[in-house]
Parts: sequence; C-alpha cells; structure tokens
Amino acid sequence: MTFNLIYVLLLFTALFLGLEARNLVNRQDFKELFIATLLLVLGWAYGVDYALHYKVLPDPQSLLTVTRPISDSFEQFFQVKS
Amino acid sequence: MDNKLISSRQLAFLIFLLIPGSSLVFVPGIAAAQDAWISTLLAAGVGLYVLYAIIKLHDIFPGQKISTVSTSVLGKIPGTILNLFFLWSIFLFLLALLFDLNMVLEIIYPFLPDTFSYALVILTSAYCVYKGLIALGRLGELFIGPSLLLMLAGLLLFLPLIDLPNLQPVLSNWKPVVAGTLYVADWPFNQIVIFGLFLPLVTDLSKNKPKLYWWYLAGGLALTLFTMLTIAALGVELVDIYQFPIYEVFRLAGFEDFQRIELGFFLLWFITAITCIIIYYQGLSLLIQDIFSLQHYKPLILPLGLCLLVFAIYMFPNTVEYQWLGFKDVTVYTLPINFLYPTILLIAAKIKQKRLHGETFPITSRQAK
Repeated sequence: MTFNLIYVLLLFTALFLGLEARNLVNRQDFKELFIATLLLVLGWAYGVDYALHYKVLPDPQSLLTVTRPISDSFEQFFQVKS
Repeated sequence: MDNKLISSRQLAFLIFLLIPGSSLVFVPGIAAAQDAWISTLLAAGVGLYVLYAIIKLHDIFPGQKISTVSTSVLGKIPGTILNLFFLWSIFLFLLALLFDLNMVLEIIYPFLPDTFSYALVILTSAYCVYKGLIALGRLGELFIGPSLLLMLAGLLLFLPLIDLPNLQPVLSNWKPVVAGTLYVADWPFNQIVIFGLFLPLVTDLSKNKPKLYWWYLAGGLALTLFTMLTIAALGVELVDIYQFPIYEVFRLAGFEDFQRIELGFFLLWFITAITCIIIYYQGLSLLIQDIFSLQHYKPLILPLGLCLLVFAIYMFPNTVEYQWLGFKDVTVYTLPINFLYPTILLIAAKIKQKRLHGETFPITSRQAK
C-alpha cells in the first residue's frame, strides 16, 4: 500500500502539471492555480500521512463520529438492528 | 453562444441512473427488515419533494445554480456557509460511492491493489468530467438502454426464487419502517439534490419537467422492486448477513445449464455506479468553482480526484469502518443537509420573491443581487 499510494500520488500530480499547470500560469489564472495547489497539498499531506503510518494529521473520521450519540439513540429508539 | 449543455431527456436518464446506481448491490432499507420495500416506497416521496424543491428554485431563479441561489437569497456569508455544509455532504457521499464500487470491483479483480482500482475509477471519471456535461448527458443516453434491459432481465430472473412468506408480517412494527424510510430517503433518494447544480445547464426544461418526475419515479420503482424481490428471495436474515444481497440473488439465479449469470450483471452495476460517480464528481467540481468564484472548474478535476482517492482510503480503510461510518454516522449528517439545504433556500426564495414582486414572477440574476 505504501509505495502504491505514493506512485498514484505522483501520477496524479504529474498529470496535473502536464495538463493544467502550465496553461494556468500562461493564462495567469492564479486563483485557480492556488485552489488546485491547495487540493494537491491536502491530498499529498493525508496520502503521505497514511502511506507512511505517521498519523499526525487530524483524523477526518472524527468529524463524523461526533454525531455517534445521535445515531446511537436513533437506532435505539427506532429499534434498528445494527 | 448557447451555454445550455444537456437536454431535459438526458437529465431525466441521469436521474433514473442515479437512484439504482448509487445503491448498487445493497438493500438500503434493510433497517425496516421485511418492510424494506414499504420504506423504499415512502422514501421515494421524500426524494420527490427534494426534486420538486430544486426545480421550483430554478423556476424562481432561472439560469442559476442552487449554490448561487444560496448566496443570492441568504447573503454572501450565510449562503457560503450553507454551501460548505453541502460540499462536505457531497464529498462524503462521493467517497462512499467510490468505496462501494471498489468493493464490487474486488470481486472481479481480487488481486488488484485498492489504490490502483480507486485510481482507475477516478481517472476514468475525471476523463468524462474533463469532456464536460455534454459527455455526461450522452453517457446517460448511452447507458439507459443496457441498464433498463439488464434490470428487466434481473427482475425476471428473480421471479422463480421468490418466496412471498419472506415478506410477512407486513407492518408489524412501525418504528423500523420509519428508520428504514429515513435511511432510504438519505441514500439514495435525497442525493437527487445534486441536480440543483445542473439545472441551469439544461435546455428545454420548462416544457419537459414532468419527464424528470416520471424518470425519477421509475428509478424509485426499480429500487422498490429489487428490494422487495431480494427480501422475498433470500429472507431478512440472509439479506442482513450478506454484504451484497442483490449480487447473492443473482448468484442463485440461473436457468437450465446457465449458471454464474451474476457476472453478466457486473456491467449493470459498473455502468450505473460509474455514472453516479461522474455526476457527483462533476457536481463537486461545479460547487467548488462556485464557492471560490472561479472562472473554470477543469483545473480542479485532477487535484480533486487526488483528494478523493486519498480520503476514500484514509476514511474507509476497511469494510468494518465503512459500515460504521458510512451507514451509521454519515446518514446523521447528510440526511438533514440534503433535505434542509433546498428547503431553506426554497422558503427564503419565496419570501424574497414576494418582497420583490408581491407575486410569483421569476427573479432575474440582477434582481437577486
């Protein structure tokens, strides 16, 4: 998984650089370039964090598990079999 | 230049494909046990309201995406906050769709690493999103025939396996039925809200609105029938145990010397699922473009694909965690967002419309500002 993910990250980044980055710079679409770079950085950060088992970044799962008490009480009230 | 990109007929096909495509090989209303088909039928009503809400919003604000309407009627900051909630909801649903399709692909390609199968699906979808909405519309037209044919064949193959006592007792307990209805309303019916981003790009919408409703209802009916027949064929316990109940019914189905026919139906699951992924990928790109007021969305496609791939692996590393998060926690977030997002906007739009005209005229983009 470690190297597979790194290869895939490299592939996506290379495709972006080859297909879009130069055009964006030439057209001076710096806003688009900034947002795209932000998304790439986010993807790389979490990708490397996962692939190398660093686990230093905030876990996005925690944004979902915060509602666990609601889902638990919902299941209990409506007698849902988990 | 005309900026309308797809016809209402193509949109109607996409609506149809979204419903069975996003639920894929699952029985989404299984919380209601043998009454899952009743839950599915009831939940179709909730989705119908969401479809009505987005079409009505488009009538009031012609030519504007739902995300633009949000900032127009609620103001820049509250509208953007609501759009961000919607963005997270779409993002989560897209991750779940990717995971679902990946699980199904694992059956055919058991030795293909997850990362590569995710990458293949995302790059295929990214190519279609690059081609634009015209390609998506044509894809819908291309896939509707084989999908309908395979669904019909599937329903016919299910018939010899059904055992009607498996559907009894009917409505013995209302609580699981309500729970099932809410689950199915969230997934897949309320996901129809994504089309609020596509409506301004549709030609001849004003004349052909009933077409959208009819194809939506056809999708709901297909899901109800598959739910009913799967439970009738397998029974509630087995549907609950199996990871892919509909797939298991196809494994049981067969005639004479023809066995393992489920492999033929991978085409149905793959084309409907990939259409859903492309719809959501396209919608997510359009929404990000709108939130950040960008001129083009195409430069975002590959970086967004990279994020989707990484977060799908990061958030759902295995089936157990997916079942906990995807079926339990995501619903608590996406159900209210996907229902309230068009509802709040519709109420606010109606108030704004009355203030401006005292009547029910459409609001132009200049008036909206």
